Formats: sequence, C-alpha cells, structure tokens
Amino acid sequence: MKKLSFIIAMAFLMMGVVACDIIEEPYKKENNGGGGNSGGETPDQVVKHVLLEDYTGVRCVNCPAAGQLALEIQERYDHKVVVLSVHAGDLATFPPFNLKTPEGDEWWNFFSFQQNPIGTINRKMVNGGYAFDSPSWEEAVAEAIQEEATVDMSAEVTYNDANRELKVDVASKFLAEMPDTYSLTVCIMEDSIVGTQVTPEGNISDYVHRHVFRTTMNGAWGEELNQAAVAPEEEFAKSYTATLNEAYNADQCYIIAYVANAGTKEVLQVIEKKIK
Amino acid sequence: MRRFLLSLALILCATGLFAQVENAQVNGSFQVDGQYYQVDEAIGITQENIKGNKFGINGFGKINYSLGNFTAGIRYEAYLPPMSGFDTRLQGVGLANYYASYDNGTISVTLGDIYDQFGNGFIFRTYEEWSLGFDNSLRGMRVIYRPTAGVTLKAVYGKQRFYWASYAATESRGLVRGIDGEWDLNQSFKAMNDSKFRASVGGSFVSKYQKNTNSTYNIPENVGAFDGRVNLGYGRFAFTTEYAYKINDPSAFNNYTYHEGQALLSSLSYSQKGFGAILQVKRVDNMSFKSDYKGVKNDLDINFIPPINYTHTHSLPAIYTYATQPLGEMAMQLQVNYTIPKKTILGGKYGTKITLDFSQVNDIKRNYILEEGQEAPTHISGYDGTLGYTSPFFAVGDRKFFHDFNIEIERRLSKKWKLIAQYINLYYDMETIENHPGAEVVKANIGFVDLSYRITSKQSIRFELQHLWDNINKSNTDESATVGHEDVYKKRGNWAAALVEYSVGAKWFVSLGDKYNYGNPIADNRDHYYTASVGYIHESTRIVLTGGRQSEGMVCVGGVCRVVPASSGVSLSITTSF
Repeated sequence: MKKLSFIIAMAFLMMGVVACDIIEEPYKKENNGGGGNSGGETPDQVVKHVLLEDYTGVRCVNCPAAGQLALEIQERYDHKVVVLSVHAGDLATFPPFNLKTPEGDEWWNFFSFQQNPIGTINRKMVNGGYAFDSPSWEEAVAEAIQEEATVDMSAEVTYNDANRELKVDVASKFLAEMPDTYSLTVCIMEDSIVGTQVTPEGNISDYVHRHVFRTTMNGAWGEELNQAAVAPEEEFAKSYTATLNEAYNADQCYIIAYVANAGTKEVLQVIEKKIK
Repeated sequence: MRRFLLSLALILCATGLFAQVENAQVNGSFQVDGQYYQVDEAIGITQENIKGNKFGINGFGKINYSLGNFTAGIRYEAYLPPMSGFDTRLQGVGLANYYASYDNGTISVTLGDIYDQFGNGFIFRTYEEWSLGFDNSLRGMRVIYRPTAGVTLKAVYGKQRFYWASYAATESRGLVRGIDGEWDLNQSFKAMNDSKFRASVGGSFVSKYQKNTNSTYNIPENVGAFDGRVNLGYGRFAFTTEYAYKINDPSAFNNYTYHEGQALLSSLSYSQKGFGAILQVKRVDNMSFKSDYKGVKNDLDINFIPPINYTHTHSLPAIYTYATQPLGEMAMQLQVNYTIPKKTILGGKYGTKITLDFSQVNDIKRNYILEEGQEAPTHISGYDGTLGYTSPFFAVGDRKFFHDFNIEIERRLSKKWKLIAQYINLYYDMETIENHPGAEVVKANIGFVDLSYRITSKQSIRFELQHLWDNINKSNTDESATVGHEDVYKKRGNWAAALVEYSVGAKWFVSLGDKYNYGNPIADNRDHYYTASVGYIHESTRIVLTGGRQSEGMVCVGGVCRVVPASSGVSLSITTSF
C-alpha cells in the first residue's frame, strides 16, 4: 500500500511538473501588432492578404463591438486584412433603413449562418463550418496571415464622375501549380454610411457603418478563371464595367477583389482599391 | 483419420463458438426525431427563416456487445439537416463513437471514445446529451486499476469530439490527459464495512496540451487543473466537499485574461423517512476549461460545473432556466422535503408531500486590475493580456444573476384525484444568462396546478393550468420603448398555459395544450403556441407525433443550455431500445 501511495504521489507530481506552464508577465508578446509577414519580406515577395467578412445587422446589439474589433485587427495588421461588412440575417433591417443585398443573403444562406455577429476568415472551412465567432477572429487572422501567398493580384480602377462609369481591370497570377478551379469575385464596398444602429446603449440614428458590402460586379460567386489545372506563373486578366449606383457615395467606394477556390470557397488572395 | 480429426476440431470450435455466442449480450437503442417546418408569419417564421430547410432530422443508433470481460460498442448519428436550434456544424452522417473495453475487475482498459468524470466533474467530465446536441467524448484510451478493495485509480488520454472534425494530429484542438484516484475507506477496512460512519477521499489532475499559434498572447501550452474531494457520512447525515484549482488559462472565453481558476462545492444533507434537507454552497471563479483556447460557448468543454438549482419540468417555469456561468458564481441552495403523515388533519387520508426550495446565484466579487486612468473593463473577466482582477474568496458580488424560491405541494385527494401545486418566485438576469445587453431583469411569479383523475383502472386524465406574472408587461411598458430591442422582448410579459392529457393504460396518450403570451409588450408577439400530441408506447418503443407551435426558449440540462428558436409544424419522435 505504501508503495502504491508512493507511485500515485509521484505520478501526480510528475504530471503536475511537466503539464503546467505558468506564464509570467508580460502576457502579451512583444512587437505584436505587425502580423506575421508585415516586415522583413523582400520587396518582390508576395504577401498574403486576409479577407475578414463581418456578417452584421443594424438591429444586432452585439454587432458594433464586433465591427470595432474588425477595424482594430485591420489596423494592427497594417491593412493586410481586408474587412467586408455584409449586412445579412434577421437582424439586418430596420425599416426603412436597409443595407441587405441579394448576394449577402446568398452567402448567409450558403454558409448556414443563424445569428449575428458572425464572420469568416478567408472563407476557410474549419471543423465543418465557415463560421468564426468574433472572439476567435484575432486568432484566426493571425494564423491565416502567416500562410504563404499562392496568388498575386493587382487591379486598375478608372472611374468617370460625369457618367459614373466604373471600369476595373484585375490581374491574377498564380505562383504555384494549382489543381482546382478558381474564381475571381469583384465587390463594391462603401465605407462610412451613416444610418441607424441598435447598440447596448440604445438606438443610434447617425451611426457610421464601416466597410459595407454593396454589390458585386460579376455575381455572388464571381467568374471562374480556369477549367484545367493552373500552371505556375499563369496569369488571368479580367475586365469589368458597371455604372455606379446613384445611391452610393463614389468618394467612399472601394473595389474588393478576391480569388477563391470555386469548390471550397476558400479565398486565396484579396486586394482593395479606392475607386477615386 | 485426418478427416475425422478435422471434423472433430471443427465441431469443437463450433461448440465453443456457440457457447460464447450464447453468453454474449447485445443491447442498444435507436432514436429518430424529425420535424417538418412550415411558414407561420404570426410568430415570425418566414420563408427566409426556414431557408428552404423544410425538414430537420436528428437520429442515432447505438449497439453494445458484451462477452465475458469484453464489451464493445458503436454509435451512429445522422443530422440531415439538424433540427432547428441545433448547431449547424452537426450536419452530416457517420460513425460518431466507437469503443472496445476489457475489464477483469482489477484492471479495465478502454480504447476509443470515452465518457467518464472525476468527482463532480469540476476538472473532467465527458458526456453526451442528445437533447442539447452536445458530445465532448474523449477519443483515446482509459485505464482503470483497482489494486485493492475501495481503491480506484484512473488515467485517461485523448482528443475530444468536436462535431465531425477530424482527430488527425494536425488538427489544432488540444490533447487532454488526466489521472484520478478515489479511496473508499469503508470498503478498504473490514472494521468499517458496516460502520455508520462513511468516508471516502479522492483527488485528480487534468492537463491539456495545445500548441500556441497566437501572435498576440503568450498562451500556456500546458494548462493543469487539480481537484480534491472528501465525502463523509454518519447515519442520516452526509457531508461532501470538492475543491478545484486551475492555473492560468487565457482563452477567447475569458477574454485572454491570466487569472487562476477555482471552484468549490460543499453539501450537507440529512434524510429520514418523510423528511429530507440539503444545503449546498458553491463558488466558481474562472473555471471554463476547454481543450481549445479559441473555443466559445460550450465548445470543447473538458469540465462541467454542476448547477445547484431546482429543475422545473413544467413549461412556464422552464422559460427562464438558469444557465451556469463558468466565469464566476457564488451560489447556494436549500431544499427541504417533508411528508405530512397520512390520516392526520393536515396530511389527509393519503399524506401530503411538501417541498420548499430556495436557490440564489450572485457574481463573485471582482476588484479589477486597472492601470492609472483606465476605465472599468466591459468584459466581466477584465482587460485582455492582464491578470484581470482579484477576488476575495468568500465575498459575494453585488450583481445577482438568479434566484428561485418555490414551494410544491403534492397530495392525493381521493382514490381518483391527485393534485400537484407549485408557487415559484423567480429573479432572472437576462442580460447575463442569455447575453442580451440592455435586457431588463425578469422578476416573475409563477403558479401552476396539475390535477389528475383516474377514470378507470386503465384510463386517466390530467389537467395542467399555469400562469406567469412578469414585471415587464403590456400594461407597464409602452410598445414604442421596445423598438430596436425586439430581441429582449420576445418572451416577456404575462403567460397563461393549459394542457389536458388523456391516457389509456400505459399504451396511448393524447394531449392538447396552449401557451399564450398575452401580456407581451409588443402586440405582434401576443401569440398562442398551441400543440396537439399523440403517443404510443409498446414495451421499450415510444412513438410521439406532435403538431403545432414551439415558442422560443432555452433547453437546459445540468446548467448547459441551447436556445430553441420558435417554430411551427409537425414533429415525430421514435425511440426504441433492446
């Protein structure tokens, strides 16, 4: 019995010693905030940008905090994170104020979301779902931004103020051999729309809605770029034109373009350009 | 001769096999719950809510096989798609669990998916709860060693189930390993075998390992938790206490704070024929323990915090069921049961059972650690990347989360009539429990009467009448004040409910019921939730068909809850076991 007690005591002691990491201050890592490859890369090294979609709603009381977190993450990673606020779900209308879109609804349904705020990080599927609760965004972005870029993108945007004609040329160069089918989606995002929002403090009529998804120029799931496997250095140039909706403030509009795996929907690269 | 020997060998083998098969036991169970959803705009169910998913089906089948010291089992699950209110990550079909186990009384080894708990579960409990869609089983190995009478040693090791996620080594959620020892003195010492004095002690250690990939915080890769417990009894008295401690465990759940975790649960009880009393106290401080520090809600819980509140089974009190708060609780419960003897003036001809119960839960006291000029944090655990707060162990926080005072009387009025009546006074901090910022506290009074009448020896009828008086009501809350906060008013206001159930033997039952939220401050929410059910029970098979409306609410089992959205349609539930 004594021997047994000794073995048990030793087992507890051993596990206790090896299986406890007591962390001393500082609890935060030094130099955090730059992100994985914010510095040190060679000038011609392609940096992977991350698409953070924030599915939000004007009647969702917890959404302003999530939106603020998205902005902080974007700031921390020096805009290597592209934020797109998609108004969708039951809480996304406050008649007559409405920022919902057909594409947003289609994404919401496809991803089987049920409540706001919820997000996607590069639309990557993890554990059988696309949903990332806002507390997990920071962690997921930190992981995503450290991945190696497989696509290099560039875009030229021309906008005619007189007739509101918008032309977007997007070049997507694949950096490795890629076996699947890939698609390019070009979105129009309007920043800083003033309107109603429900907050924990009550209703705010002049709330500033940031990074609001307005529409796409080539459908909810974009245009497929390839049918056969893509070769390294293979480049796809696409051009789209549209007349900017009168309701949008052109001074605050941006193009967000991304290349995604057409099957899994995972976004491989994303870029953002102001139209003016 | 060779042919004869071969035949003999075959016969002997077959006989042995038959003998084994004869001793083998197979048991199992199946359950299918399905619901057809329909548009019902009166209760806010639109085509958009249903999203084309007109059916939800949850089903499982499990089979266990045992032969001598050997047992094995499988559990197959199908969610096609999951019913409304269940996590959509459950969608899919597959072999969810399997195990094989050998137990010779001294040693037991189990490989596969393990369900077990240490003590009350403060630092380790894996379980499956079908009604919640919850399963945190551990896929790995368990060894139980019983070296001598009264002593049980356990070791577990593995990775937890997370919906249908892979168990591959590359998967980022952590590993769980734990050891537990329990010593029952009454079994160990002959002199104590029949003693009135009963004693047992136990201790556990659980550690999780998860690689730190966080770029912001220094996340501990090994997080350990310790637990000690003592159970004492003398005659009709029993005293149990358990204490657990967890080292720094920053996570998305506690806003990446580095405060230690502690939990204490003590219970003193007395029971004799016709009388029982139990007093419980509990303190929980930062005891969410998950095998993934990024987990939220009930994702990948390694441990379980037992609730110490009365479990209501009637529909109106169950609208406001308390959900355990792992980040901090100071709780107490006192329950007294007394049966007034039969053939007395108060007890009547058949005796009367009275149950008095009071439970209250407050927050713990928190003194936030702030830098100069820093405002109080918005997160209850404090600022991220800090120790968060200090908390005096015995101090009770000012914020009350919940209280429930109730008195229940159960009395047989005559050979034919039986009455159960209950009064409940509830305090429910909706903002904390349901995470609805800005929601007003629910202060409700609830009463119900449950009356059953035996028509013949095979037929009976049961009536249920319930009422809930809410402090927020159409008479004191202007509808315009609810604009923009519709979410927190969905189930507020007075409710009335009635049900009648007719049973034939133990085979058939038919019930009709209605719940009416007539006092809701929002006129559109003053809805009837009517249901009709037919059930058939044959041996171990039960089939229930229900049609009507389901109000939004919470389903809670052991303080773990899931939200049930409102729905309308027809549901069918079939369960059977063999």
